Amino acid sequence: MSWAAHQFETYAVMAHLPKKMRGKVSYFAVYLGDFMPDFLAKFWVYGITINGKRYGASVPERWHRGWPGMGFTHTLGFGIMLAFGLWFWRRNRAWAVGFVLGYAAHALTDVNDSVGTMLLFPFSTLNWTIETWAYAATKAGGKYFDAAAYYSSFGLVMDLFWLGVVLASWRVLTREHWRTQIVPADARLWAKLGRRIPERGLLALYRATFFFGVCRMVGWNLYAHVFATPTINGVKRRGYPFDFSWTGPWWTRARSLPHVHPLIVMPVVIIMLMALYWTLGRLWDRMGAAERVRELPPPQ
Amino acid sequence: MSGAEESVGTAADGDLDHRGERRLSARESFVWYAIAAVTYIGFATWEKVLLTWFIGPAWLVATLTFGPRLWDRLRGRGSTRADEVLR
Repeated sequence: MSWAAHQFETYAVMAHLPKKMRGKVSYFAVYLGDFMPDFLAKFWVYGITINGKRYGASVPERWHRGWPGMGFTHTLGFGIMLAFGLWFWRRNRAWAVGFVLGYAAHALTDVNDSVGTMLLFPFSTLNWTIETWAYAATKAGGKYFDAAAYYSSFGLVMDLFWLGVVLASWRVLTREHWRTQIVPADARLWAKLGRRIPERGLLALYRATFFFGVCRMVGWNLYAHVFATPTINGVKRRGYPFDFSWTGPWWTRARSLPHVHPLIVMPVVIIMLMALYWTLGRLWDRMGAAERVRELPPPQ
Repeated sequence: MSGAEESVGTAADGDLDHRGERRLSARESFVWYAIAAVTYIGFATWEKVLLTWFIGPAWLVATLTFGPRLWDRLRGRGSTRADEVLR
């Protein structure tokens, strides 16, 4: 799984929209799409403990990304289905397109850990993974161990990569960008929020996901490498050791599900992403026409 | 489009926003974002349950919304248009 990368990629999506979509795609929808897979599936991965008894998935990786389980929530097919539902409900392309772009970002980023996602669901339940780092959500370790493993491996590099992508497109975080590109795409919602929140708070709300991404990255790294005192192979340590080897870190077993060969994953991900942008580009104008038809007053 | 929709995010009134609240300078903004980050990371390192998708963003919005307002009150400086009128 990815951690702060999911926060940063929402801004990367907004910064690299096709020209005709700029200023017209809802940031809230991109955020919701990116957030939805883990919102639907992750609560049971770590589980909850009540009176010393743990309630949660018996095999976290199967629940999170596999079938049978909630793995379908991390597939492009499911994201497209939800976006269709959104479109037929509201006839709002800013939301439907934003949602599917956010969803795709999440589902495709998650192919990096050792479990990956079922990219071709519902046509296949095989997982697609590049095995860049170890999937380490376990019943015993919970969120803390998962965070430690992620931030000791290429997961940290992944978060830094996405942070770099956003910082390279730093204008996406400016007040000017928010005012001219983000607010117009969601004018009514921002106006509703603006009745209670001053402008500096609204701008903070837009930047809040970036803020959270940076803070959780710093916070979990402090825990993993400064404050934690794990015992690994019988040796008590101050902080979990870094390991930037493929499918690392070495000190945990990388969880896995039946999957395709990792070498074919990246080309297929790129093709799927290109196909998605191409299709959305083709649909964009037609969706706009359908929106306008809906807004016309009924004939007298 | 309502009046509110037109005014959110516009620079119509110089230093005041659509609610008549004071806009922050770039330097002030930086300070408030830094305060939000340092306090959030500080508290969250101590209590990890704060490191959640809801509390993190809410922390920033609350700091930027209420922090300057409170600071202005403490300094006896009105931050809203209403305060300016009353003074």
